[in-house]
Amino acid sequence: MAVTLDGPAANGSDAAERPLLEVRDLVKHFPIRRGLLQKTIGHVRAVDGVSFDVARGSTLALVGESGCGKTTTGRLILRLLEPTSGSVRFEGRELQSYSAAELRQLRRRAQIIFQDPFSSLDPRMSTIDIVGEGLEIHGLVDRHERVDRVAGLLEQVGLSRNDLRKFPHQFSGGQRQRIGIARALATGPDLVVCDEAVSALDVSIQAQILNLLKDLQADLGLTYLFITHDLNVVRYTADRVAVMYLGQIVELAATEAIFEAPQHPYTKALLSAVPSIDPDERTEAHLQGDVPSPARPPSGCRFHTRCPHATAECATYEPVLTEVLPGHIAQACPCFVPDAMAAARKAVSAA
Amino acid sequence: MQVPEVVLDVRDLRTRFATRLGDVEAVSDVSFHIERGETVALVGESGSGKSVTALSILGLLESTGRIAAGSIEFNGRQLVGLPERQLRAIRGREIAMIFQDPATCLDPVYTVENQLVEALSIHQRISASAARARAVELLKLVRMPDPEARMKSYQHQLSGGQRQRVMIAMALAMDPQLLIADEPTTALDVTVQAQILDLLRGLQERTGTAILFVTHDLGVVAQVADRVVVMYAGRVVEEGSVRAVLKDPRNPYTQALLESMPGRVAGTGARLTPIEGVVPNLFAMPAGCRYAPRCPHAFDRCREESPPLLPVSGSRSSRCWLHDSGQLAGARS
Repeated sequence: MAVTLDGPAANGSDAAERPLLEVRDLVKHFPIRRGLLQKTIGHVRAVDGVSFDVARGSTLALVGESGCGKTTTGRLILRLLEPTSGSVRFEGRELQSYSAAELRQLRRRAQIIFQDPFSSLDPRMSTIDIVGEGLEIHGLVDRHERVDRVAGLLEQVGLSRNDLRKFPHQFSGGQRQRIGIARALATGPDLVVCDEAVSALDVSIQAQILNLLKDLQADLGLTYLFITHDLNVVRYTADRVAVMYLGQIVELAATEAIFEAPQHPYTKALLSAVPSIDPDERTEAHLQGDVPSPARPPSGCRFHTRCPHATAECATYEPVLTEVLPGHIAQACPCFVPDAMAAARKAVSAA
Repeated sequence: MQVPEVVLDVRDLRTRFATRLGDVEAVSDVSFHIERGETVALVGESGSGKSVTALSILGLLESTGRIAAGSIEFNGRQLVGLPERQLRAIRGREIAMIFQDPATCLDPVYTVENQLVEALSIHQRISASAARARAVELLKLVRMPDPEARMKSYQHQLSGGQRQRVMIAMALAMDPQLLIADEPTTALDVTVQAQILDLLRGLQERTGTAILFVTHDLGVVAQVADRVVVMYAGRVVEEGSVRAVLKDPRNPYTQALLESMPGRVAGTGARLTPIEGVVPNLFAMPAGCRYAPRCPHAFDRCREESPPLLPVSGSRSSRCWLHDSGQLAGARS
C-alpha cells in the first residue's frame, strides 16, 4: 500500500516545494558486544525503518518515550551517526553521496540544540568563542567582523553585547540555552534539530525559549526537527507529529489530528498519561509495564505486549503503515482499521 | 466528626547554608502542615527551596546547611535539634522517603530480596521466612510484575519504573506515618509516571499515610495532591486546596506559572506567556517581595516591603500586597 509521507504543503511537483528533508526506511542497529574478543552477541535496533518528510519552514516533532529511537534518528539525519541502511535526503540529495567538502557544508546548514545547557557548553570558553566558533570554522567572518556578528546573534536570542566576554557559569539555565541557540544559528542553518531543547528548563523559562524558537523560525524561515518526550511542548511547537515506539513510527499526522483524533492505541495511551492540570480530570494509567528493551523488541506489533487490545495474532504479524485518514499515517491495527490484519498477512506472504 | 490529626507541622522554618561568599538563606519562614491521610504538594521551580524544605524535615541537609530557626513537629514531637540517633530512628520507622533517582538509593550489590528483608528486620523482630513472605507481599502491593522472580534481581536488572516500585515497597515496609516523595516520577517515562501516581493514590487510600509530595510539575500536583503549597525563591507564596489554587490562583506568581504552561495553549499560531526575567540569586534577594522584579503588577510597596502571607477566602492564603489593598481583582487581567 502506497503511503504519502508528504505534508499538505509538499504535494506539488514544483521543485521549490520539495521537502527540505526526506527520510526513507532509516535503520540504525548498534551491535551489543561482550567478552574479551568483543564478539557481537546481538543488536539494539534503535531505529528500525523510519520514514518521514519535513517541509521547508515547518516543524516536525519526533515524540516518544525512552528507547523509542527519537534521538538516534536526529543524529542520523545530521550524519553524526552512520545509518545501517536507508536514506536521508537533504534538499533532494542523498547524504551518503556527499563529498567531504559537501559534508562540511551540511554541518553549516544543519545544526543541533542540545538538552542540557550545562554540559553542552565548554566552561572554559567565553560566549564569543562558543558562538563564534562555527563562524570561524566555516570561514564565514574575519576576526574584525566576528565581534559584531556574535553580538548581533546574542541580541537575536535575547542576550546582549555585554555578555560577549562572560563564561557559561555566569548564566542561568535559560540564558545558557539562549547561547546554545545563538551557537546553532551562527552558521545560518536551514535545519535545526532541537533535541529535548527545553526539557531541562523550568516551565516559566521554557515558555521564553519556546517563544524565541518560534520567532526565529518566522524570521529566518528555519525548519525544525523537534525531538522531545513532552507532549505539551509538542502541541505548542509542531506542525506535524511523528509518534515513535521502539524504533518505529506508529503514527504521523498534523498536530491537531494527533491530539484531537489519535488513531493508534499507543498514541492514545501516551496522550492520556500526561497529567492533566485540572484536578477534576483524573489521569489514569492505561498501560501496564515499561517500554521493552530495543535490544529484544517484541515480535509482530512491537506494542502488543502493552496494548490493551492485543490479540494472539498481534504477536505474529507486523502492522503495515497505512494512510488511515487523508495525511494521517498509522501502523494499521485491527482496533481501528478493520482489514489491518489481512493487510499484515498479505505483507508477510508477499515477502 | 473525627478531629483532624496533624502529622507534620512546620512553622517558620529557616534553612541557611554556609558558602565561601557568606551565609545564604534557601528557605525563609516556611509554614505548612499535613494531616493524616492527606497529600500535600510542595511545588516550585528550581531555587524555590522545595527540596531543601523536604531535606530539612528529614534532617538530611548537607553539612554546610542548618536549620537557623523555626519548628518541625512530627506527631507532636519537635524534630529540630533532635540528636541524629533519634532522628535516624524516626526516619527509619515513622517517616519514609522516596527520591527522584532510585538507582542511587538502591544498593547495587544486593538483590531486591536482601534489601527488602533488611528494611523489614531493622525495625521489627521478624523471622527470615516471615520477612521474605512479607517482602513478596510488598512487591505485589506495589504491583511489581512477576514479584517472585524480581526478588532475585539486582537493581541494574530492573527498569526505572521497577526500581521506583522497589523504593516504594521499601518505604512501605516500615508502615510509615509520613512519606516524603521528592520528584519521584520526574525521571520516569510518562506512561510509567501515570502508573506510579496511580499506585501512590491507591496505597494512600488503603494505608492513610500522609504524603508530602515535592514536585515542579503542576500536572502531577493536580493528580495527586489534596492541598498545595506554592514556593518561590525560598518562600511560600500561596497555599490552599489543589482545586482552588489551580482553578483560581490568587497569587500573581501562581497565576503566571499556570499561564506559562505550554499545554494550555494549543495550535501553532498561539504564543505562550512566559514569566520574564529569572529567579533571583540567593546572594541578591530583592528587599521587598521576591517576585516583584518579575511581577507585572508590582508597585512601590512591593519593592520596599515583603508582604506577609495574607488569608484570602476560606483556608487559603497568598503572599501579595494586592490582597492588602483589595486590588487583586485587577491583577487577573
